[in-house]
Amino acid sequence: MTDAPEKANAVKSRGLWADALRRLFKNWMAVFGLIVVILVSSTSILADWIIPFDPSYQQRWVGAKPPGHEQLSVTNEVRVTVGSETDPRNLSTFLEGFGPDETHEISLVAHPPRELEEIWIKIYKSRKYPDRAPKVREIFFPTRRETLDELAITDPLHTLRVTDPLPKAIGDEEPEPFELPGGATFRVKKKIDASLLPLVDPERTAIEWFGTSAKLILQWERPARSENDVVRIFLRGRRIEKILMNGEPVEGFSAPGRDIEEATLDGEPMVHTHLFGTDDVGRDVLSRVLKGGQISLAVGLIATLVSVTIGVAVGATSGFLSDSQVSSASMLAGAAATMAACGIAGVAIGGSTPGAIAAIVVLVLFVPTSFVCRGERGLLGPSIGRLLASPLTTVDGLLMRFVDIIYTLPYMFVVILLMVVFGRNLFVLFAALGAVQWLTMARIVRGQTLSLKRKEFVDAAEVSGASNFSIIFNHIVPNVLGVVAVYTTLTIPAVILQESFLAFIGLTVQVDGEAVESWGALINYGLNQLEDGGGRSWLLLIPAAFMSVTLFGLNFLGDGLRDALDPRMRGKS
Amino acid sequence: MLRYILRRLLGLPVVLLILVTITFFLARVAPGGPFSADKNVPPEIKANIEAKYHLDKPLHVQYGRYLRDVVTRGDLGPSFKHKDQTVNEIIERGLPVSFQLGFLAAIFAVTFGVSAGVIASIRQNSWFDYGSMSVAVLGMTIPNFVVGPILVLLFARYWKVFNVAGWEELKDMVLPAITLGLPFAARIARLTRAGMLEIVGQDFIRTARAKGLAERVVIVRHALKGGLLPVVSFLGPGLSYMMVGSLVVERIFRIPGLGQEFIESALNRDYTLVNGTVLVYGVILVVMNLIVDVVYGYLDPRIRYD
Repeated sequence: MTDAPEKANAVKSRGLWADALRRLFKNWMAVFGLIVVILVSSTSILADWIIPFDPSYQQRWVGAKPPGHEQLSVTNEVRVTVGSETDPRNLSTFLEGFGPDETHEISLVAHPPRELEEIWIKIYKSRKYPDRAPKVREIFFPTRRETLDELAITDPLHTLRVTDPLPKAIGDEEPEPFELPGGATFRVKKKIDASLLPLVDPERTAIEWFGTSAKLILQWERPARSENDVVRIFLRGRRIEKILMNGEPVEGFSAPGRDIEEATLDGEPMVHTHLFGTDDVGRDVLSRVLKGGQISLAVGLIATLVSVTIGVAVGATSGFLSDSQVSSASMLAGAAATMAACGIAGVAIGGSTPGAIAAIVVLVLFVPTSFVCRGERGLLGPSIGRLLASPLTTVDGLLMRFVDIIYTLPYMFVVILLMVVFGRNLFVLFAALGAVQWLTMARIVRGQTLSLKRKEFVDAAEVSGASNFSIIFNHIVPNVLGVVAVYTTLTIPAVILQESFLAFIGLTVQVDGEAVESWGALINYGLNQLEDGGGRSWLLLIPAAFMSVTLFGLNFLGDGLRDALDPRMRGKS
Repeated sequence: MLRYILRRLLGLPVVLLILVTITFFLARVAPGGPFSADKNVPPEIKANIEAKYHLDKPLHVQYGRYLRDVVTRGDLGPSFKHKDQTVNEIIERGLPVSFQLGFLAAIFAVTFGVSAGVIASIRQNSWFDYGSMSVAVLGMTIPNFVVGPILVLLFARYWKVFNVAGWEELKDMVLPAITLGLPFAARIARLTRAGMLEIVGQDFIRTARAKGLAERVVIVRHALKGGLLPVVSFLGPGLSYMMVGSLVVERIFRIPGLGQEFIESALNRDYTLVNGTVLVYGVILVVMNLIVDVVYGYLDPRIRYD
């Protein structure tokens, strides 16, 4: 009893952060959030290593299968090519699709293909007369919107795409393409009339073989094969040990996954479990969700960092300089510099002078209008009489009026517009989302700074001769970091949500012309795949669950952090 | 108060001018014109089309003409993609649908949010309190493009209570309104609960109870007005979010509203329609905010605008 006060004195005083952490760990919802965030972010970082399948790897013969489906298949883990190079006969196998027992010469007369250009071949099968051979409907360059009367087969730089020959009837909506592997040396010999080309049995044409198991294309000497052929493939390491068809060893062969009855790797059966099932073209849902999460989280994190950087810098500067007047000269200089920067950015983004002009016009409009705009909600505050004695004479007024005006714009519409205008690339997305998100951060930081700058330590720094810059970044910013941390964890889910929102309505980000499928895109895809009675519902539910849990975790963590750093705020939203 | 409203109304054109300018120039600097998809158009015809829509004039002339038409006649121009339709016609067709949706969602959100919040605050720490507040957290976190499809899955696919999509009968409007209103109902419930708890602890409520008023009267007549203040201030941004959210909801349920038109027009580069839609949304948002501010000032005498 007697030494109790001593013990109490002996307790080390905890710092702000240690105290906050202790409170955070008492809040089990926040701990749950933290665990979720750690789990999700680590799987996303490691996604490239831990995903079981290539997310874009299609196994059309598998189709949509519910979670837990076991599939005997040859995945990208076992890339097999027999021989050192792809055989030109790959093409002749393909061309056999157009007419059996013929070697076709196809020449390209009027449309020499460019490098890395795609050629699409659309093949339709009549739904009305299912027995009739499918026909080639159109051969064209999608990029040039030019139709070919004669099929062009090109050098390895070109990709040949063939659209699905099976389920669509003529006149149906555009069939989804699947891809023939590039890299084959396509030899071209004979003209063909695209409209009259018949196909041999589409179930077993080479088209599908290429399309479905591009990763396992062996040569095929075209032995007669029947439906009941049983194919077994045995691999040792990454090399093919033997291939058996009906028990007989085969030398050169190509088999789609569907045909393979048994496949072993080093004696072990090659069975892959699709934990969350597959989508309608046989892509592994788990892999797609993890990869999508990587994109969603990356976007959330980077756009948030952009917004935090801008927001803290603007907010701290604005708050700290709230009293200092701006000389008209420096204001003009600042305006000119901003305009120049906007112009350059406009040129860089739009690649055009109109872009720069537009940027400048927008900015020129901002400056005078900021004279008018003022008030709590960012709408228009001051009486007309006070217009000329406007708050624009201070840095603070200038910056905050700017923030106010952007606040009033229906920002999601502007973001959509930006994405449409400047293209769907990652940079535009970061810029568009970041440009919106920093506003709130700037306001919060400004508020904090306003109260901080009256504190003694700021006076002390000022007296000891520190520059404004040094005071802002060495003394003010470290003290607002708590608020910044809280708001950052709450901004990340908001940004993820916005990106998914964009992806959901069809504005997926594209990298190198390929759509990057984030969670929003996957959810949209799942929604479109719903059929009567909710078949294939896992395509919707699984990405939705991943996304919801992540957002939950981030929100709980953010709330918990806020409560921990500022106990007075506990329980308030 | 009147001065305040007048001043706000004066500022309105400025914000809208900025909005028009940004959308106009953004749409014009976009690569790929509205007719770039039509292949093999002879240059004469192309020139004719461009002349018809004044696309051959310099940019500032187009801008000036557009501004003049909008200001003097409220004319938003012809749609580039929907031949023979003006932007005004398209907006007149889509806006009532979007308003219906937003209105129903708002009714749902306010009714459910306020009643759940009030009950939760009266029965603080009861199972209802914990249950409804947990649901509220769920509703706030799960995005509506997840909630919507899941509702479709449950109520339209499995149980077939409602239709999957469409906008004809009242039955069609239930799921969209719930989807759109849910996050706001959740926010409102939390705000109401917090606001009520704060008010109920104050002296004037104790006075009312001491007077011997029935608990119902205390809550309805005295506590509710103050407790709902935070809800009112949330309604402004809430309603504007409802506008934005309706983009997604209209897409999920294939509702022929303005949101659908906006997405379509943005993807089709239908410049005039994009500008018109954004402008209409802008007007709605700004006016909503103004109304909410005025109502707020009326409800809370502590707030004085000058």
